[in-house]
Amino acid sequence: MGLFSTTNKVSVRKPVVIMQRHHLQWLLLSLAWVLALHATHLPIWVNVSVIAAAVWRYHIEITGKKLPKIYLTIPLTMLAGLGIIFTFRTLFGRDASLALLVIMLGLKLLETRTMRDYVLVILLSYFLVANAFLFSQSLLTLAFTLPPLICITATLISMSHRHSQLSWQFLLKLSGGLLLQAIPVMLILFVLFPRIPGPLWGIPEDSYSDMTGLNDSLNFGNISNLTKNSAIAFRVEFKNKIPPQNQLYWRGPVLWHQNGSQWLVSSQHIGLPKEKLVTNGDAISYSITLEPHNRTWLLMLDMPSVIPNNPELNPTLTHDYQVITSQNVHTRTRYNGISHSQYRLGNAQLSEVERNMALQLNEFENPKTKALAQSWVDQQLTPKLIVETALNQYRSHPFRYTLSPPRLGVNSMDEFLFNTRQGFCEHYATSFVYLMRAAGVPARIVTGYQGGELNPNGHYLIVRQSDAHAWAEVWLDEQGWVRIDPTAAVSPARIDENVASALNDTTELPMMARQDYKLLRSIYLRWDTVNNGWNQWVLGYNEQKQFELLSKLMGKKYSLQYLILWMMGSIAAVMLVISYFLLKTTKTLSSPNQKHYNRYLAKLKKLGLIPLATEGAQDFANRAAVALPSQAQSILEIGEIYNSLRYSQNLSSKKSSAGKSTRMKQLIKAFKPNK
Amino acid sequence: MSRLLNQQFWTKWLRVSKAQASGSALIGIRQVYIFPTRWGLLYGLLLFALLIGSINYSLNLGYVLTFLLTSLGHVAMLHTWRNVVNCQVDILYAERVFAGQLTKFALNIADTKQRPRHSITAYLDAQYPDVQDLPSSSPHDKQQDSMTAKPFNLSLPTIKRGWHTLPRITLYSEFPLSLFHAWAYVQLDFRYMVYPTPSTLTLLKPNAPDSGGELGSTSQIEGDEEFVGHKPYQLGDSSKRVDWKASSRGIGLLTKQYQGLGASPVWLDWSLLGETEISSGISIDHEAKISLLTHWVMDAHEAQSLFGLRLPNTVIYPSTGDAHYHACLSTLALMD
Repeated sequence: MGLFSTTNKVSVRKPVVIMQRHHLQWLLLSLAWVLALHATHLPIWVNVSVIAAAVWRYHIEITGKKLPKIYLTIPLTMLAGLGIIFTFRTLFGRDASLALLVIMLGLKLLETRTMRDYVLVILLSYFLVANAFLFSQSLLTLAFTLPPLICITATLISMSHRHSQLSWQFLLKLSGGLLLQAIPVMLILFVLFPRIPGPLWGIPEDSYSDMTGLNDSLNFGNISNLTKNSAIAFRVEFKNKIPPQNQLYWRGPVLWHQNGSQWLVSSQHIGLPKEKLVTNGDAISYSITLEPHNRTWLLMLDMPSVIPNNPELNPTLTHDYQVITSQNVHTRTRYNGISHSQYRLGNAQLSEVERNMALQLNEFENPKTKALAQSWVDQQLTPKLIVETALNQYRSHPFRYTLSPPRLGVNSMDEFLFNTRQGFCEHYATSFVYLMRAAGVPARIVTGYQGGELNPNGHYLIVRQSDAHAWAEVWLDEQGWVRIDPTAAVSPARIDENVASALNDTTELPMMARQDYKLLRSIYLRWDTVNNGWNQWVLGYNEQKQFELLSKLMGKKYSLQYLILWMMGSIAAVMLVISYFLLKTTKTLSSPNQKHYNRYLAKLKKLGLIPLATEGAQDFANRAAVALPSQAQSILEIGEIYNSLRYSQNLSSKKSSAGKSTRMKQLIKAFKPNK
Repeated sequence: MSRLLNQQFWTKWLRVSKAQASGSALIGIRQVYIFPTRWGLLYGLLLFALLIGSINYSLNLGYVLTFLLTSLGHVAMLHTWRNVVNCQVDILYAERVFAGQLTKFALNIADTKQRPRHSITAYLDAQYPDVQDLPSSSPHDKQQDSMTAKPFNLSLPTIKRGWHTLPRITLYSEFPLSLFHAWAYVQLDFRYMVYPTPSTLTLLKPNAPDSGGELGSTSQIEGDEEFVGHKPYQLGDSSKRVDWKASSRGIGLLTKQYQGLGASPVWLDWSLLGETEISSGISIDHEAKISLLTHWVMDAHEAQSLFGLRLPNTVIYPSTGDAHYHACLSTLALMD
């Protein structure tokens, strides 16, 4: 051994391994899938550049040219970086860093030659697949990540088999098989791996830029634009009966401050005393699963009497009964609420500050509107009557409820109330509040959602962005803040039914908010039931749910050590089961002939005659015949028949092989080994 | 400390698959080592990055992918291990070479568990590995089609003449994902012969006492040869010497006879090497003498001369043919 001990070292400096064309083909195919997954998240020029780089790389492979030199790749890399900065104004943030990663991966292809380069590209591709979940975590996105995963893994397999090329069927089958075998442990880890509440560091601002929802200000067009969006705002499960449609006012931001055609939330931070709420009648309890909207408010059914008690949200109630969280809602959030539909909101008297705020109007605007309101004051109408008169104003004139109202100028209220008379809920709510304030009745705008669609499959209510709504609250001394919905005066159907039934022309509404397409809707509702379950159980599985579930499973003993023990134990168990199936010698489908022959072998085994691995049936028969001379004849015949049955199936006719088969059977039956 | 640095100390503790009575060695489940490759470590880094990202962004599908890839790594580990375990190794033959050359060994490595093996690499010396796929031991396996069992060709540099024990064979695989390196050591009970390095010195052969004429270097032998006639073919005669043309006349095989052969065999004599030393003025040590004799044996064999070898303890009587040639070389290889 001594002389050769140097050769026993395992760690030998491995030579650089240059990959072959079929490896490149697989790699490019994987990257194509990854790019397809992200194409819509990337600027067009990034997509085009990556495709160009891939084509270039493949062209180099076919023509056998040299890879581009460093004096070409470095300027290209810098150019790409500048392009990203120019497009996104930054290199950081979700969108910019994704684009940067993709373009750098594309350029990396131009110098990808060795095993090392290939592995780097493969690992980055896995990383990019995970990045897709930053944009969407729907079931569909998950389904779309499967082909890239299978393809990347297949590429890695082909790279591990460098001495010859494996067929694509084999690669896909093995890759799919490996991923399938990986699922059980993945499930265990998903449920049992201790969840750490994020974030660990700052999250880029733009990560949530595409979330939609209500704004903290109201401009003309805000809500009507939102109405064209069929995205789900939140889902509601009621503990008991679902209240009637016209009671479903989902309270969001309350707007106080008028500035031209814009209304703003402005009172939140002023230390106004909380308005007093006196409730009547039955409490309505429900739980809401709110889609992330990157804002702080939690939508509640008018009027929330108990605020949600989720500690991680830390919700607080503002003086005007908005429920606000301490941080923007970035993840799907579930909370419980209790509300009352019969209530009196407000203290006995409106304070001076509140009165001033609720009567605030910019000067020198909308003279005709102000004059109209002044005429009611001059008639010495009570606030209650002023409200009635104003609502009558909408009913008696030809106002039209429409999604595409004409544009309004500087004196927007005048134009709307006296000329165009076409508007959406935001027009009615703002003009109404404007009229109230001009007539000296304190008023404010409440934005939120109205209505919702019952999903009969899961028995919950779906509220979409298209249900966004704005209404008014006016102060009446005896009644406190009273909800008035001027839209109802113009278009009762909007409140009693939904947007689609209130509009004559629904083509601008999203398909799901419309009444036609019955079948599609029912399919969609079913699909939403699946999605709701997905959201609740998969996407909503956080440290809190983990704690609840595991406390239930493990009882009071639940602790972190216990959790980790459980996790390790179950992983070990699953791996054992998988190993068992992997190592189990697959019993080859044995023909009847094989069975008989095996029986014969078992008989010989008792005498210590076992065929060697290298020994054919004929060789074994010869050896056995020598060992057992008394039975040599039948041993040799059995061996001969077995051999001919096994290796010349195509040559011998069925008839003769059947004859041989019965002969062998007889011989084996009669065979009694003895020395 | 020095004990720990000594490789042989560690070698004792390694688990090695040893040859069984049948001559082949089976890699058992306790004899397979496994460790992540550098790609495996990089993959681990990727998993860590994915986990941190998933925590930071509270991405539940990020967790799903992180855990799926973690689990994939585990599964790959099992597959890599299973690819190596229960392989049977035996040696088919070794080529005889002169010290300093590469010996070539043919090994038969086969599956015993009815599953095909992929990318199995074997080496004796890491510089000369061989990679093959092993077909399943089951003749009914469907994946069989593209695979045929081929012997592994391993090479080993040789330094010293004589018998050598076949060193430990290392068998490894990183299939399917290159994330893990599973390997096993196999020790077969096999000896191989290395002939002495032929000398590069071109020295004149001394005259043996009973040789008829003066026989010089190779070129001279060829120049002096003179065809004298035929003799009936005898077993052991070189086939190159058979006069096929003459034999075709139907009077049996005839061997060409040359002058100086048969009649006067060449004696390659150890004891006369001293003369050579004197005549050439070069001092020749023990090993160099063996090398020189090896060189002459090769020359004589090539010239198809009748030659004998006289060594201090051994005498091989003059003969020709491959068997004689190898016997001479082996004797030289085994000299003290």
